[in-house]
Amino acid sequence: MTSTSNRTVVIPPRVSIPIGPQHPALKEPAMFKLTVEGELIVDAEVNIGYNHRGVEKLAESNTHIQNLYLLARICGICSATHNGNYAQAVESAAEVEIPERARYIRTLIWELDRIHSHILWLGVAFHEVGFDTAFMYTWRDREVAMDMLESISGNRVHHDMNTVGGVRRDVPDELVPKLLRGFDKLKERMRYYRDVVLHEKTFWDRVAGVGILETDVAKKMGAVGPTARGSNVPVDVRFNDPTQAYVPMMDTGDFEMILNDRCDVAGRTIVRVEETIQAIEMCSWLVKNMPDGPIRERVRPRIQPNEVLARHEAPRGELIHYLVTNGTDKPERIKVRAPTHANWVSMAHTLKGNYLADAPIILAAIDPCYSCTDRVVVVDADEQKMELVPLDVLRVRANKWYKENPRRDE
Amino acid sequence: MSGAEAEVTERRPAERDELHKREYDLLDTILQDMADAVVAEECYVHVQPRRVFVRVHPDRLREFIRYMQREHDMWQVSTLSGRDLGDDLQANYHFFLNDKKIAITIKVNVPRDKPEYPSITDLVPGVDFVENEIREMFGIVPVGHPNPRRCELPENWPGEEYPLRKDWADPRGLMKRSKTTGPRPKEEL
Amino acid sequence: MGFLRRLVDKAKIKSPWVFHFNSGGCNGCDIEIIAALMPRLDLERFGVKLVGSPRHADIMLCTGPVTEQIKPRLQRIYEQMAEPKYVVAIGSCACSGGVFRGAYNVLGGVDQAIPVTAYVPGCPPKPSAIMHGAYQLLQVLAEIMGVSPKELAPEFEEPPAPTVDTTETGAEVAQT
Repeated sequence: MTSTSNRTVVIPPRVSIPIGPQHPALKEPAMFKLTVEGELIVDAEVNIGYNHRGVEKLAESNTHIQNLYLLARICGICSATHNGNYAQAVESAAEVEIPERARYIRTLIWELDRIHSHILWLGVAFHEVGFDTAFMYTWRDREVAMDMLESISGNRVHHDMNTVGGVRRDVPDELVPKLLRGFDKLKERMRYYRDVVLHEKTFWDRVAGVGILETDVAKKMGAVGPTARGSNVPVDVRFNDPTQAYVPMMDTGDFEMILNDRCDVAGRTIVRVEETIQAIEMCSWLVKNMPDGPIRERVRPRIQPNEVLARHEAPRGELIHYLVTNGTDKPERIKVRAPTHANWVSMAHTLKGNYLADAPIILAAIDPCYSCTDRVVVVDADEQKMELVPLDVLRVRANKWYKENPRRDE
Repeated sequence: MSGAEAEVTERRPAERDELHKREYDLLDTILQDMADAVVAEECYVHVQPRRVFVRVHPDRLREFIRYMQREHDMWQVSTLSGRDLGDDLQANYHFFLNDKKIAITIKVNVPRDKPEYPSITDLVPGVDFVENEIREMFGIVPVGHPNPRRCELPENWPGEEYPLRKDWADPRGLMKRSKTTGPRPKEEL
Repeated sequence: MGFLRRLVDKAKIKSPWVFHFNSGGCNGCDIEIIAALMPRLDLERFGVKLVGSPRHADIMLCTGPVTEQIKPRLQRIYEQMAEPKYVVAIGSCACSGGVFRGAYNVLGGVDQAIPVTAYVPGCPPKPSAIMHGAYQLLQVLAEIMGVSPKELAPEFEEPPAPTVDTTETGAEVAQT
């Protein structure tokens, strides 16, 4: 894999670290430090922290209702998951049962969120390999899902549909035929994209055999979500630990966990595309079988002392909220573990042994939900220098490299 | 009112009924096999389905993790959260047993003046990042961590400040700059 | 020389190149900015181009409440832009800190780090709101630079308001 038997420790010159043309003299600006020998990545170090806003400390001085809005804005792409999971946690702490209809609406928003997030990721993946036409197509079709979310909740992103004790808005009956038509259209388009992913050589050659994460390594490193399911690891909170309307959905037995044993980026892509189609079917089921009834239940603002662990399958993986309440209307301790945080460790492992040109698609393959400062530091082990490369420059370089060295295998 | 008092406690143990049979089987097995490593009064099965909480002595933590990996096939690690309990600091490891479908939380209490306990990163590589995070946020030191480094706080953060402790007030005055109230210290709650 | 200056100013107004920077936000405003460039609401027909380097840009779109770690980088990037440069703060977090105001790592808005020309509030602002904000900014710039606003007008029509029932129009587009 590498030419040297032991790792070279790179000590950059002390006086001035030649970090590329854009950021002179900044100490450790990078998120990813890739050590390369030639074009092969031999070591990868991941540094996160640019997005640290101190949410857990801030949440301790807000009431539970205020925290619903704060936690929804941890992530813009999967905001319904944080919102719903926190509502679920507080309701478990207060030991109240919310009405059936509220559970179905909450799950419907979760699955619509999954659809739009996976289509977004698919567009980004096409963009990372240079396939901008498909990027535009997928995002245009994503607008159908955004319109549905907007007609139910009033906002395209940050739906804020949940409250402690249920949901805030109802799904009126006039909206149901429009939703079903939207689902049919989305399903047809997703089948088309599945064909593109599987049969389009320009895309398939870039993702097959790249970024391999073996099953046992994925298990040890705590990988979650499609990253793990693309390596045949059966983790999915909807099937292992169902709550809300997933309980009756699992009882029908129509839905199965989607696993793929390719263990590479192509496997993760296929898992996400199949999951989108399954999510559309789940949404249709939910809309058709939604029971009548109230949509919220009154919960007193002071929650009894309790500690709960609320888990949910966000589009990127398993999301955990560990909530400790103390008898007042503010939480004592809230710990949020977003799914991307768990995938960083396995990411550093998958980068090793691949070409530098594969770095953009591998970084995108775990579907990271980080602030897009998009700066990658490339450390050249032979020449002992560090270079700061913006991610889109890296992407352009990668596409050019692949045009000159096309892969003919598989 | 954090932590356990005479009447008011955060523990909500469940009845030994049909709904919680599997969780109680697991808990009984653990209490039997590792009776001296766990603190039995603080181990319980929660009212919520599929949740078990156990508390382990810090010096027996590594042995307990190895036992769980061997006997109960525990490989799915979720996260590590910390808590400030007043006199002690607590580190909670959250795992999920995939074939039994039970989420187990392993708690470790360390004294505030010497908050150290052995790290389990070599047994469970997935906790690499979160052990760094708990060191930065609470000051709980997992001894033997292979790669301790700054992970979330800015580079110029002063050394002994641990933001998530209850008695921490921002010494740099950032809260005042934003003109809103921040978290109040414990006495005012 | 006067003619050349007026030509350059007109090019800046009619075809502004934007650079996008996220200073620690949740990515909600970022995906709305990218959605503004997508086929539903196409900003590229107005000549707006998203560039990768601050040195090529006229306008910087900045989102996110500024965290401590990001502040020096944000200031460096602002210094690298060439004059005349304008900054648009998009989203409530970039205007004032949003929901994160008061956290220990958050400074509270982009104007704590760099001077801002325009504010677009919203959480997140819809792509049409972002476009409206950009249009207002360009109108103000046109007055400053002396480019006649009526030359500006024919290119900037308000797009038709999107209806809820878009499945049919979407299906027609899909036939292409």
